[in-house]
Amino acid sequence: MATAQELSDFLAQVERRAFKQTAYAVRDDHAALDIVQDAMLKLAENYGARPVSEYPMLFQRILQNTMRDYWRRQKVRNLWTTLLSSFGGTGEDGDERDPLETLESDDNDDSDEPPAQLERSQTIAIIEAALQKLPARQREAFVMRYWEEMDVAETAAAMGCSQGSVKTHCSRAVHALAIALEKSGLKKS
Amino acid sequence: MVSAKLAALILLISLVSGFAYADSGVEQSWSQLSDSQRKVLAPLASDWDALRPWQREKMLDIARDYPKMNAQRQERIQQHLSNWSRMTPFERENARKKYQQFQALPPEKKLELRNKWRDYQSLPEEQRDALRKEHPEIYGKEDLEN
Amino acid sequence: MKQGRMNQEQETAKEIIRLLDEKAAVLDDKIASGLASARQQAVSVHAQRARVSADAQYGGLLRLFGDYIHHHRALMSTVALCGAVLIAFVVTQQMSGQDVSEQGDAFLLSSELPPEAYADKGFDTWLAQNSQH
Repeated sequence: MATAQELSDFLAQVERRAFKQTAYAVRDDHAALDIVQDAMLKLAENYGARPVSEYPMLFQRILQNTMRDYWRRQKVRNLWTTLLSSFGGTGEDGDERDPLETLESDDNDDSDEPPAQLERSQTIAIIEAALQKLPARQREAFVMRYWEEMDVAETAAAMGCSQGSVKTHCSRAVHALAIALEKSGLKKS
Repeated sequence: MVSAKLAALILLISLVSGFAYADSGVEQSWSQLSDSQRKVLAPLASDWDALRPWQREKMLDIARDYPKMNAQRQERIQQHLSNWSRMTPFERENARKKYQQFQALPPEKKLELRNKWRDYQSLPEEQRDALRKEHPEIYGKEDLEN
Repeated sequence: MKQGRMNQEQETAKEIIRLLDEKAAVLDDKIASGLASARQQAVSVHAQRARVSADAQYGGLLRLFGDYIHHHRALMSTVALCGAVLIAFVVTQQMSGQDVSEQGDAFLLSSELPPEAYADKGFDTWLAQNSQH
């Protein structure tokens, strides 16, 4: 049985990655934080008696289930109603502004960064976007195998599929991400 | 006796939900789909088996409605399928609502919105990402807890 | 040859992971502290559970539960009835829900705007920024 200290160490070690991974899947930081919090509690409540070596697999499985539950109970926002009515005019104000200009002036953070750093953060943004666009299972397999460094068997157990599909999902994911990476390389030059 | 009733009830529920599940096709693998379904969903051929059941939800309905559409609409469906399959159930539900609002707009507003989308698409990915992060007042915390 | 492909896959994966790690290292303060307090909460729940399970052994709990069911038959049938009503409600809800949106998806996908336009939060912000003034 895992001790409280072991649980604490485990969570401290995975929490950031778990948050990012969830944010890639649900594309909302607030929701991702809620989901990770929920998953941590479930792990502590229901699996406290399991050995800590099983935690990576268990936690991943809980995380996937919590995401699914979250989507099921998510309330749908009716956002465009207000937005659509607001740009109904004949375009005297907002529409005439150059969108790129406005954005750049709003976004001063980037201009302080040295060029190499800026380039790198652009590459990261492209990779993150590509990761978000992957089919869910490919992203899950990739994250578990390469980010969480779980082995194929553990990943298969967490995903509830065969080891063969884990490998297929992984190599497809890497392939798609590699293409995105290459494209970002072309953009740089 | 009560437990017998309970067992019967549980059996009934699992049967009903089992049928509903099989019907909606969420459990079918690519090779189990019919030829016409595969033809419509062709852009998803390599991804289908990697999709979560909830991502396959209602996909087969698209295949069913597809033949009723004209060539231009069919082409758009083919172009859009792959991105659609990658959206979360929440995003899809949101998209359905917004689509209805979009449909209700007069033609000039539709055009305006399409132009805005094109402008937005021309931004670098990093800036679009920054815009996505700027969204908090729209998705307030209180909405997430219900 | 297959080995070569595997190695290349791992190399690419490593490179991507390096980028992702870099990004995960600079989390927003609010999120980092949210994660830390969730962790502490989980640890204290874990400590509580450990105490409870030391008090009552698993088998004892199960027997307790069995006795409880035995003595509360009336309660159980009420629960069963409520369950049935709830399920009937959910099923009808789902069916009626399906009808409404069924047509939608094919039409939505064939619309002039791509589906991601309807779902992209950045586009929402973009619209808000470029329409209010």
